[in-house]
Amino acid sequence: MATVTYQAQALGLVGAAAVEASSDHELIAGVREGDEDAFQEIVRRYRNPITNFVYRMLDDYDRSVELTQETFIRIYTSASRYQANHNFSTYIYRIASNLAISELRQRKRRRVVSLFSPFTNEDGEAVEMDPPDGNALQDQSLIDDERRKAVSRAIASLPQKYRAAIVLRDIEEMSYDGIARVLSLSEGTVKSRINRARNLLKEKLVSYI
Amino acid sequence: MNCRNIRRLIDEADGPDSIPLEAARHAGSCVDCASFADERFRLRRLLSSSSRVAAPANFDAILREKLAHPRIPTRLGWLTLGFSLKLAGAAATLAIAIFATQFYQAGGKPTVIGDKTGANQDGSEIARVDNSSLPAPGNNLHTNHGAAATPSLAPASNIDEAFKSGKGYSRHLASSRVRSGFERGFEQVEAAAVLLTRDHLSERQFTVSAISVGAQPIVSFDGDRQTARIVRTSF
Ligand SMILES: [Zn+2]
Repeated sequence: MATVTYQAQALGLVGAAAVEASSDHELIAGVREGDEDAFQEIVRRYRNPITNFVYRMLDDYDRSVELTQETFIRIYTSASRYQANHNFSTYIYRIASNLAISELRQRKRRRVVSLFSPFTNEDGEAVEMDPPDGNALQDQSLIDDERRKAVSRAIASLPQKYRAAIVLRDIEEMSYDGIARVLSLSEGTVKSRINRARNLLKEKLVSYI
Repeated sequence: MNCRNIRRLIDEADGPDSIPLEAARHAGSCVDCASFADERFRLRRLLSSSSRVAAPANFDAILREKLAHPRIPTRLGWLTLGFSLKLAGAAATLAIAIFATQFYQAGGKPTVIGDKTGANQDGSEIARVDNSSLPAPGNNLHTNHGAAATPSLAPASNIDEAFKSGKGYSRHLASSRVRSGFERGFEQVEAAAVLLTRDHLSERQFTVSAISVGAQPIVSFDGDRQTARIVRTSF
């Protein structure tokens, strides 16, 4: 039975409303006490951003969903070890980031057998190449779709070490400080990686900017 | 402050409205830096505006199911695909090391096996393996039929035995060595071959270890095109 008292309860909120109004730290404390509603609320808050983040890292939706689920399983099973001296979002992004980077490394090793992949990025990873059609696209939705695909391809073609930093900064709009904590890097390294990633993306997306 | 530092400030800003005053003043009078700022913020807008994906509708249900029935690691849980690949890699490395030792103990020079095995017995399709860029020392790339009779070459080397037993090399590779030694007038090397592969999109060249203990590359040759490629590796 949950014994955590949420701050929101002091404001007169009860039940689900109290859980929804709670901070991440309160929720994880609730998870630690076995409060299923608290865990459900954490999942509700982070399932979409984490899925999107991992998807941008992997460019593979199904695998992204699996790794996002694995992220939540780790949150749940290690709730008792969670220390609230960091932002919870830093904590969950770090787990997701580690899983995604591990997946990319495994893929890179598996690709050793794929000697004949015609298109690879700078990490030797196979990249689907689908150059834009030279004919002018008339329909706006087609243009948007093409642009979306181009962005996905361009990010997927980045070296893995730049990918997490640029996705966290320019897609998840995280601060440099937050990214540095998620990736366990210095802020200077993060800034440098983002700068290089943008330079590479500028070359790849020149026709879209 | 020079343009490089100004651009760094522009790049690190949260957005066009957050550029430090000094950088904004500079960009107001420097066309290059103004252009850089404009390009950067258009790129960032493109990235941030690209559509986001969401978790599927059944995300919570599947997660609940996984939490209710966690996978229990088995006693052989360590025997993962990754571990197996590492093990195979280590075995292949060891095999190469053993082969190299045997090879250099046997004289370290190329031999023409054809004069001992007699002929190309299986009559398989022969193609040229282009070894013109082989870097290994002691590999005489020119015609050298006399090499087999050279006393320094052990007539019953481990390499030859391995070849006769069919373990030493891919049979395709071995037979190409036999015929090419006689008919094409150049020798193949023992330890490795540089294969040139072509498909309709690319041309690649890589070294294939011809080893006896561990991995054997199964190589497909196209004699007409003078190309070769690894079909798969056999352990
Ligand atoms: Zn300037």
